[in-house]
Amino acid sequence: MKEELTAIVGEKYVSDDIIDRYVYGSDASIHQKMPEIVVRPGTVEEVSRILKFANEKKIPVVARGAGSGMSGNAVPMSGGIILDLKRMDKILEIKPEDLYVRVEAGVVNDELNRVLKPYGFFFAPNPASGKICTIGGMVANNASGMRAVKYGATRDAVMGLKIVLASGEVLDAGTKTLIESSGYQIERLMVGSEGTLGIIVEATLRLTPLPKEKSMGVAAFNKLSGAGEAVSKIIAAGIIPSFLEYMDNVAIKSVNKMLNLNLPDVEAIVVFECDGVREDIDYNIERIKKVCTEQGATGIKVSSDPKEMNEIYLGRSKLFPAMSQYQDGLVVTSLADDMAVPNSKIAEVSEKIHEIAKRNEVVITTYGHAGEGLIHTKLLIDPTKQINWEHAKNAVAEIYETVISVGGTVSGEHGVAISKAPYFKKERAGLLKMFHMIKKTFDPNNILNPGKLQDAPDDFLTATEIRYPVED
Amino acid sequence: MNMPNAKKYLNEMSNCIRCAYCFADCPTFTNFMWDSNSARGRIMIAYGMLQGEIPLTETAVEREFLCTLCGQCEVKCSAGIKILDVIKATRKDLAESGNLPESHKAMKEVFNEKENIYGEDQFIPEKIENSAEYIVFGGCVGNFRENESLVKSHKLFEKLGIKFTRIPEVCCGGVFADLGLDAPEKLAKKNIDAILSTGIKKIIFTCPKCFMTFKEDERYSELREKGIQMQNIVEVLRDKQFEIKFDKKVTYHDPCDLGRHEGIFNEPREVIKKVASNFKELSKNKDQSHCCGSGGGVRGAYTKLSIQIAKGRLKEALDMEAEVLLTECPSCLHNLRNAKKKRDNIEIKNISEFIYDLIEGEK
Ligand SMILES: Cc1cc2nc3c(=O)[nH]c(=O)nc-3n(C[C@H](O)[C@H](O)[C@H](O)COP(=O)(O)OP(=O)(O)OC[C@H]3O[C@@H](n4cnc5c(N)ncnc54)[C@H](O)[C@@H]3O)c2cc1C
Ligand code: SF4
Ligand code: SF4
Repeated sequence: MKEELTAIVGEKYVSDDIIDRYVYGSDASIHQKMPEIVVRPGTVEEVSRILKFANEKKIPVVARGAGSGMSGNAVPMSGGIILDLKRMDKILEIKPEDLYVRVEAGVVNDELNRVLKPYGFFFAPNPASGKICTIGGMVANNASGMRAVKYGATRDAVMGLKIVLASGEVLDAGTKTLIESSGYQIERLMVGSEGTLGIIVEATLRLTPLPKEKSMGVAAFNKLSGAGEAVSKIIAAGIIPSFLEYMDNVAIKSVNKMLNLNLPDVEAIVVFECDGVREDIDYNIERIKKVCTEQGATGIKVSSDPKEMNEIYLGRSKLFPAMSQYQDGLVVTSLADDMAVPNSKIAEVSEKIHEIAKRNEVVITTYGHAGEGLIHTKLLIDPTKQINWEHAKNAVAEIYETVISVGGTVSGEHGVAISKAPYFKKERAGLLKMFHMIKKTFDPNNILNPGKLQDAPDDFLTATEIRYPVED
Repeated sequence: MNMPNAKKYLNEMSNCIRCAYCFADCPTFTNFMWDSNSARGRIMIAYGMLQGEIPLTETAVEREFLCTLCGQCEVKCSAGIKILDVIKATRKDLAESGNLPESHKAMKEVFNEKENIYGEDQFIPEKIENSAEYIVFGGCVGNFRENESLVKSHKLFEKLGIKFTRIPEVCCGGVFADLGLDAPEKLAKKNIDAILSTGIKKIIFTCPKCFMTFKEDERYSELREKGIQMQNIVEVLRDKQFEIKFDKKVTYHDPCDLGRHEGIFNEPREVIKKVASNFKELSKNKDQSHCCGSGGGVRGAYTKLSIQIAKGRLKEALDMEAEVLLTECPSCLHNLRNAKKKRDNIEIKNISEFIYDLIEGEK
């Protein structure tokens, strides 16, 4: 296999060295499994030739950007080829007048926004991992970020994609127009497909004008339910903030410990931002303050100072990693980490999650992009004890049951892959047959990221090796 | 593999969430673009060997030793992982089992006979001034490779009325820990004796690495306990006034050891702005500054990469059309100068050297 791949991309870009295979066998999830080989194509033609070869030989191919996925999305369940697309990092066309930018799949989110800034535009989905995650990974996971409540998720910005099918055939899906009504929207089907239907090599993405100004605020609540109510009442009042987040006490403590931000040590805080022109911002901020006060906020702080706003923003964007400093010996695991529920259910579900944590003897924090009903939880466990993993598994199952029971979904932005697949299959039971048919149509030999989503094992804990030093 | 040093950091390795944030601006990742050439990769490789999940191989050794220890990854790492400690501990385990680059092995031997990293003859102080207020500690790179620049720093001190002496210094030993080696005991002892024998209480360091070593290394605790004041050259120059002005575009490269590792960002800028009216920041500056590629033993063991990294940093200055690229570190100076092509229209200098040259030019 090495010989054929080397003939396609050159020696410099192929490695079957055990060290590379080991490193590429892991992402930001709990899972780990080694590929047989890593290949780093630089052109669409190379991708096409690699897939043609792999398809003929029925070798699994797993696309990979930064490998920052948290559900095992880029972990090669069945070995095979890792297709690292980071070399394909060219920005091909910037067309502010047509409101789009065309890029290769390996372009990094923040780099794209750096280049777009002088044009007065940005690519709006803004994941916390933006400094390293690639457009291909964002599309394949339908990534979103804090500002999705106003600007939408990646799917809302995808106008067109160039895709390489498992057979090696290259397809252009979608358009360069802002609207389209011309048949099946294959580009949309690719969004969230996690590398199981085709390899995204190029994306035409919608541009959003950069807002002129913004203000930010933090409201403190003595009750988590008050924070939850405030969030849904803000949305119900017809206000569209540019972000609307909440954090529970475990999250607040971690951020304070790591970043010295002195966030109020209350049961929950709501963080909000409004952007646009000053008059609108001030009007909306006043309305948000009013709603928060009515819902029992004990203190509200608003700022338009860039330095202060950056600190608040930092606190939120560093929250996930800050959790790792919560307590010595406990590690943050990426499990049950990004459910979405109807906005009105946030408080209820968050409180239930805390009860579940207590029952299963794990530390859990809840926080999230409340404006979109997104609940992040982080499970902290001592990873060395097998029993703790069993506790975590039970907690995860209960959390998903709760989420599904209120009409929520197991993944709002990180994708399903391995760790969420058992519960995803329950949530989407009625659609599984169709999912299988779609997969078969696109990838008859099942070479593209096999063993994920509907095809993943029913026990995520035994699906792969676990990356932590489990002792017994 | 038996890795007693890395084992102390097992918890740290588990806490690494493998988010890849540390890819951003890592000089080795940017150059090679293989995931294994990043902090995440290095931590994983250390973990894999420690847990017996992967064997010790040449690639593993190379990945660990390719790191310049620039610390960019620690700035980017929002999990607060002590990445450099993990890498240094891993290097120590590798070195102790004889797995280290040839040039590092040679370093050990050099010090059997000589007392500086270049294996040169003993450094002879060019100036001894018994009534001086300061000792100037120049370091191996300043004494043996960028001596012209160092001598200009001395001359600037003289012009500013700073009374100093040099001592028969030997290598500070700071580089050893970076290579996973133990510094020969004799080095610190010789330096301490030479310093204390003068009775002088203040040292000016022109090399940030030596500065860091004297301030933090256990071996130099005696000096700290005896209240010897240690200052980097930029801290001294900050309080001085200069009568000269320069209006061409000037920029500044933060040495990793001075900036990210010692937190000295403002002082060099204050000094530069005293003389240069057209100072512009490189787009990557202060704690986000790109590395010059010389640290962590990379210049010795992987010279091609080291120069490649320096070329990248120099290009940033050329792209912004700076006419002078300043720094204040003999290693950065040396590497950036090595990266410069004849046709590159830029001067590369230490700040102190730059100011001295301006004063001389005025005359
Ligand atoms: C600390 C941290 C914070 C995060 N914050 C957020 C956040 O705020 N919002 C959010 O949505 N996500 C977040 N994520 C998750 C993750 O960063 C995103 O899902 C990101 O979009 C993944 O991009 P990547 O380049 O790392 O993709 P990878 O992890 O490499 O791959 C992800 C999936 O996409 C597939 N894939 C990658 N490239 C292609 C391609 N070109 N064609 C086809 N399939 C492809 C892979 O096979 C895999 O299934 C976070 C992760 C971490 C670790
Ligand atoms: S940024 Fe820190 S936590 Fe993330 S992969 Fe790198 S070392 Fe690990
Ligand atoms: S210290 Fe510098 S070279 Fe080493 S891993 Fe970190 S960023 Fe990369």
